Order: sequence, then C-alpha cells, then structure tokens
Amino acid sequence: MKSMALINILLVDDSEDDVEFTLKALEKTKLANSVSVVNDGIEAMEFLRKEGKYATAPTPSLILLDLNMPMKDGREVLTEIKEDPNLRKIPVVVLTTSQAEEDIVRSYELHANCFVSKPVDLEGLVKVVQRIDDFWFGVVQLPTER
Amino acid sequence: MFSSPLFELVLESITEGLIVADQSGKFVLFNAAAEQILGAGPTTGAPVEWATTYPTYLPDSDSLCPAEELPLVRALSGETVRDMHLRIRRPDGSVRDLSCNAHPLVDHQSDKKGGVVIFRDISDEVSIHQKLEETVTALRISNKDLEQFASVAAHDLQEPLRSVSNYLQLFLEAVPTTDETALRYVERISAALKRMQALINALLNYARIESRARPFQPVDCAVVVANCLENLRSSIKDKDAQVTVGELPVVLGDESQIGQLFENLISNAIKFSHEQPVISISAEIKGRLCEFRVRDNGIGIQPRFHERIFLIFQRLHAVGKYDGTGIGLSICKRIVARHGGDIQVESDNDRGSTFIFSLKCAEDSIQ
Repeated sequence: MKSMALINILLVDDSEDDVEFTLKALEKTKLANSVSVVNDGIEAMEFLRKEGKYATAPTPSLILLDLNMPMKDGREVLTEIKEDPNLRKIPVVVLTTSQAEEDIVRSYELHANCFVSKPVDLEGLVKVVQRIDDFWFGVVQLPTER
Repeated sequence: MFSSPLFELVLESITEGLIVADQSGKFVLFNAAAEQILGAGPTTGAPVEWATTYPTYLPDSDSLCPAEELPLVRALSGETVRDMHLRIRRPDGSVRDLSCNAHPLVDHQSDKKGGVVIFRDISDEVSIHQKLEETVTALRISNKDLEQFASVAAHDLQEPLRSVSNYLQLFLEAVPTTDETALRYVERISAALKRMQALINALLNYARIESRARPFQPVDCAVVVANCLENLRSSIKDKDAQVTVGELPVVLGDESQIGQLFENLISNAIKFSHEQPVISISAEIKGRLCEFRVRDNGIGIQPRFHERIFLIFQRLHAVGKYDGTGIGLSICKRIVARHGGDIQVESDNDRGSTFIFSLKCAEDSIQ
C-alpha cells in the first residue's frame, strides 16, 4: 500500500439505486476511501474542473463512470476528460450495465482506462468493485499529485 | 379491312377494350368494352387530342399524358408497348387504372399500316394492392412497436426488479432476523423476483423471433438435435430420460431458432412426465416438406387445451407443480410460422403427447 491518505473516488451515475449499491459495495472494500457522487455528466465536469459549488472539490484518484445518463452522457464526459491536459491522467473506469460491443469499442476509442460491465446482482457488484479497488489502489502505480 | 360476323362477335365478347387505328390515326375498330372502360365512344380527333378527349394521365402524375407516350400513338410509330399503366378520368368524373398493351399492325395485302391497343381496367387490382401495402406497412409498424416494447422490457423493467432484489439483500443485512416467518417471506419474495425476471426474458425471446431473425440457410437437424440433447444433459440425467433420435434431414431455416424449437419441445417432454420419460424424435420427408414428430410418454394434454397451449403465457398447471413461464410453446409456434409451417399436437390425458411440425427441406436433401 502506497499511502494512508484518503483515496477519493468520483462516482458518476444517474441512477439513485445504482449509486446506493455501488457505495455499499465500495464500503465493503478493504481500502479506506472517500467517494464523491454526481448524477450527470454536466455535474461531473463541474466537479472535475472545480467550478461553482465544487470549488473546493478534491481531485479524484479514480473515476467510475456510467455511460447512459441524461443531459451529458458518459461518452461526452470521457471525451472531455481525455481532451483536458489537467484531467486526462485520472484513470476512468467505465462501469455500466451495457454489454453492447459498440459501447465497449467506443469507450476504448475514447481512451477509457477500462470497461467493466456492471453485474446485475449485489454480490457480483461487490466482487467487481473490490477488484477495481484492489487493482487501481493496490496493484497499479498512479501518478503522484501535483 | 377486318370484318366478318365471327370476328365482330369475338370482338364484342372480349372484356378488354380494343381500339385499332390506321396510319393517319383514324379509328377503324372500337369495341364495346373500350367504350365501357373509357366511358366514351370513338373520337374522330387527331392523335394529339386523344389524351384530352379521354383524359389520360401517367400514374402518380397530375398532368395529362403527353400524346407521344400514349400506347396507340407509340404503336402507330412502330413500337410495341407491354403492360403500360395509365390512369383515365371518365366523363362522369370517376378515375380508373388501365393496363395497356399496344402493337403496330401491317396488312401485307394492302400494305396498309396501323396500330392496336388492348387495355383492361385494373382499378380493383390496384386498390387491393394498395390496401395490401397499407396493411404491410401497418404490420411493420406494429412489429417495430413490439421490438421497442421488448427493449423496454429488457432494460427499464429489469432495472427496478434488480433494485428490489438488491435492496431486499441490503434490508436483511440492516435488519438481521432469525424469525422463521420473516425468512420464509424473504424466500418467497426472492422466488417471485426470479420468476418475474424469467418472464421478462421469455417475453424478450418471443419478441426477438422476428427482430433478431437471421436469413435461412441449410440446417442439419441431426446436429441441431444433438446439441439440444447436450444442453439438456443434466435434466435428461435427473429424470433418467430415454431419448431416441431417428434419421433427421437437412432443412432450410434459421439454425438458432430451429435449435430453440427442438430444445423447447424436448425439454417440455422431459418436464411434463410422471415416470421415466421416453422420448422419440423422428422425421418423414413429404415432397418439399419434412414432417417432424417429437413424441413423449408424459402426462398428455386434454384435447380441449390443444389450441390454448400455443398461446402466450398460457399455463395448464400451477406454477409450483411444473415450473416455466408458459411461453415456450408460443415461441415454438412463432418460429414454425416464420418458417412457413404450422405446429400441432396429438395427445390426451395420460397418453403422452406428439408435437408435429413441418419445415422446408434444403434442396440437396430431396431425393
């Protein structure tokens, strides 16, 4: 483990229920983390750019991004993140119920760091979230904060 | 140039309109049917005036047909015209659709030239065709709606279902209980949710028979049935079922759908049994069709239910007794219908059931 500093994860998902389940799953992971939640793409970009009410928002170490959302969807958010030199190094995990080949291909084309199909049951979700957490905060080396 | 009593009789007895003109455009013959169809008698006007005298239009156009495109005018200039569609407005205002054939005429004895046009009223055919097209369009829209409905079922209906199931689990973690009644309720809720999920999936499969259809190609039924038996291996083993497969031909169809058809029928044969299931699958070639029989020694079906079992979501037994969604046979029926055939059952209480359906043989399996 690299540091005991609180790891911040940004969860972008419009479904209240899915947010609840993902939070629950994150709660069950071993690593300490704090999670910020936004419900659409516009809020996500405001959060990441520390605009408006997000002026004091932390820079997340990892983004969990849903694809299908109103107003600004995950594909647009992904595009904007990866075009922004300040944001593009934050790993983005696309976490969606979609299993469509076109969504997978499109996500990687837009430089998603990985695409994970969200399991439909809680048990599966807990396992997947645990693995995401383990991998990104236990295995990989992330760039250090500026 | 043409006259004999027999010829006159023939001319007046045919239902097609017939007009003959000489080279100058003067009408030499004009039969009764022509007058009836056009709603007007012969004219002495020149060919350039014909389209005005008998207001003639090209289909889907509001302006008069140019004189040089009229079939008889074309015939007079040596051209043969086949099945040309024209529309005329009769003096009484009614509009009729005509199919016209025209041909140049040469009388070798007198060296006179001319032309003939023969036409019939196809208004009824045109309107039937239009109605048919409208019906097909309406059907297409309704199929599209069904597909839309299916994707709604897939996504929007399943989502809240998943939430209920997950919250149930979280609820149990938040409020642990050892109360037997409470635990039994939880179990029932879970079972109901699973069933709902299965129903939605079944409905989705049903809707996708058309929308996910693949083009027909030769399908080896022996291979398809062998795969089905492999898929059903565990339930065959559980019930110690005896399955005999006769010689099966190559048919023309959608392989995955034909697989689903056999699998549904065989799994029903295994499921609806009260002793060791004995199942036989056979085929008999009848001309270009192949008749399949899937026979079992199971609980059978009373004749009064023989039609109902193919309807969607119809079940003859309580959910607890035989599980399933009540959609399997309606899927079978829809698959067979898409392949141009029909499916029937021969059965009675406690006498087993035989499901009979036909599929088209692939060319090379017809001897």
